[in-house]
Amino acid sequence: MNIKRLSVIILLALIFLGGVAGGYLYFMKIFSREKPTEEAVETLTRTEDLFSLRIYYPVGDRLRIEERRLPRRTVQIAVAEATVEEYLKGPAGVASSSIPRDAKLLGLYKDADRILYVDLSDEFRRNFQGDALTEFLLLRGLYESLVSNIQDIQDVKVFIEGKEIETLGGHFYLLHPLKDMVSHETSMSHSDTKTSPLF
Amino acid sequence: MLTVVSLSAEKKTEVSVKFSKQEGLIRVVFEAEESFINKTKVITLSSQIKIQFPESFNLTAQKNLPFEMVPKDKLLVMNLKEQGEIKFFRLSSPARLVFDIQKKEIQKEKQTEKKIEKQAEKQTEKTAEKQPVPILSKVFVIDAGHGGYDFGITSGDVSEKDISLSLAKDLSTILSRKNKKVFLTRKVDQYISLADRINLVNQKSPDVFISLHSSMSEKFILYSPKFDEQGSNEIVDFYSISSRQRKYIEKSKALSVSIGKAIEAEFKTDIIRREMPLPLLNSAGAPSVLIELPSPKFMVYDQQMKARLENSIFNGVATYGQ
Repeated sequence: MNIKRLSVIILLALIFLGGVAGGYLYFMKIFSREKPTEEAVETLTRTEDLFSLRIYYPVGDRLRIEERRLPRRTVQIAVAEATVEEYLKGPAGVASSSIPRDAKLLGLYKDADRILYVDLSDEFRRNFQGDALTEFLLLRGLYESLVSNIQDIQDVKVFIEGKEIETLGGHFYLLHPLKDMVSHETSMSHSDTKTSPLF
Repeated sequence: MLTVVSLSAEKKTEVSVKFSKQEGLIRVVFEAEESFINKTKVITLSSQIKIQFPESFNLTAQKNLPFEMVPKDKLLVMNLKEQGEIKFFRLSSPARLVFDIQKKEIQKEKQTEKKIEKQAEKQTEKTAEKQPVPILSKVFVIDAGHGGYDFGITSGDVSEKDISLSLAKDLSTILSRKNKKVFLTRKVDQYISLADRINLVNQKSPDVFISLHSSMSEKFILYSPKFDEQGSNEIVDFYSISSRQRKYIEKSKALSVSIGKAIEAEFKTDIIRREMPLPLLNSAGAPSVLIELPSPKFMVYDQQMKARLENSIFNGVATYGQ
C-alpha cells in the first residue's frame, strides 16, 4: 500500500515538473521570436520615419534658419510642441543665445479662431535680457518657426505660466497675438544712408 | 623696529605707531590703552601735529617714517615734510588715534576733478543758454525705460532702469529751466506698464515724446514708429495696437534725424536708425522717438558722459522743427 502511494506521488511530481519545463520552453520560444520584430521597428524609425522642422533662431541682428530632424509626429499639436521645444534649445554653435535659458513649454492650445496659444514657463520672461531688437527677434523667431511648420494656424499668442502678461522685456506687447507686431518688415539705416530691410 | 624712549623716569605707557602710504595719503595710527588714548589731547596744524598724552610714554615705531617725531615728556610733536590736509579720528577696539594726512597737490587734483564734474553738470545748461536756436516745442514727455523689478540691460551694478531715470530727470530739469513743460512717465524706481506710459503721453499731448533705453551694443540706436502699409484682416485689426501715431509719423522721423545728427556731432560716431512697430511709439499721439544708448557694458555713465548725452539730446530737440 505504501509503495503504491509513493509511486503515485513520484509520478505526479514528474508530471508537474514536465509541465513546468514544457511551459518554460514554449514561452522562451515565443519571446525569442518577438524580440527581432521590435528591433526591426526601432531600426525603421531611426532610418526612415523622420521629419524636418525649420526653426528660425535669433542670431545677432537677424533670424537664422536651422533644420532639425526628429521622429515623425502625425498630430499637428505634437509637431507644434516639438517646434517650440527645439526653439527653446537655441541655435547650434552659438555661445550666448538670446533665447532665455531654462525656459520650458508648459502647454499648447488652439482655439476656434485658429490662434495657437503657447504657454511658457516664467524663465522665458525672467531670464530675458535684451534691447528692443533682441525682444523683437525672439518673438518673431518663435512666430515664424510655428507658422512655417504648422498648417492651419492664423496667429500665435504667448502665455507665461498660464497667464497673459503685458510685455516680455518692456518693449513689445504680449497681450496680443504676435502676427501683427512681428510680421512687419523692419528696416534699419546707418546715419543718413537709405533704409534697408533688416530681416 | 626702532624704539624711542622718552627721558622721563616715571612709569611709562607703551604707545605704538604705525603708518601706511597710498596715493598721496599717509595714515598714522597711535595705539595704546583705552584710558590713555581717551585722555590724549591733539592739535593739528598744516605741517605739524601736537599730541599731549596724559602721562609719559614709550614710543614704538616703524623705521623710515615719512615725518619727524620729537617726543618731549608727555608731548609728542610730529613735523610733516610737506603741508597737507589733516583729518583726525579717535577710535576704540583697539583704542587708537588715527591721522589721515592728504598731500595738498593730490587734494588740489581731487578738487579739480570735482570742479570738472560740477562743470560737466552745468555744461548742458550753459550750452542751452548759449543755444542760438530757440526750442519751438513747448510740452515734453520723457519716458525712462523699465523700472522696479524690470532692470532692463544690466552690467555689474549698473542697470538700464537707473541710467534712463537719471538722464530723464536731468533732461527734465534742463528743459524746465528753459520754461518748457516736462512730464516724466516715472520719477522714481518703480515699474510702470507700457499702457500707463502710453496713456500719459496721450493725456499730455506733448510736442515731443522721448523714450530712453539702452541697446545691447556699443552703438546709439534711434527708433521711429513703423506701420504696415498693406491693409490687414479683421482679426489683426481687432488685436492691432493703437495707431494714433499715423499722423505724426513724418514728424517722428524728423525728430529722430535731428537727435541723431546731434549725437553724431557730439560723439563723432555713426548712429543706427531703425523703424519698428514698438507699441510705445505706434500708440503715441505725438512726434516720438525711442533712443537706445550704448550698453552700460560698453560705456561708463559718469557725470561727464551724462552731461554730453543730455547736451546732444537737447541740441537735437532744439534743431527739430526749425
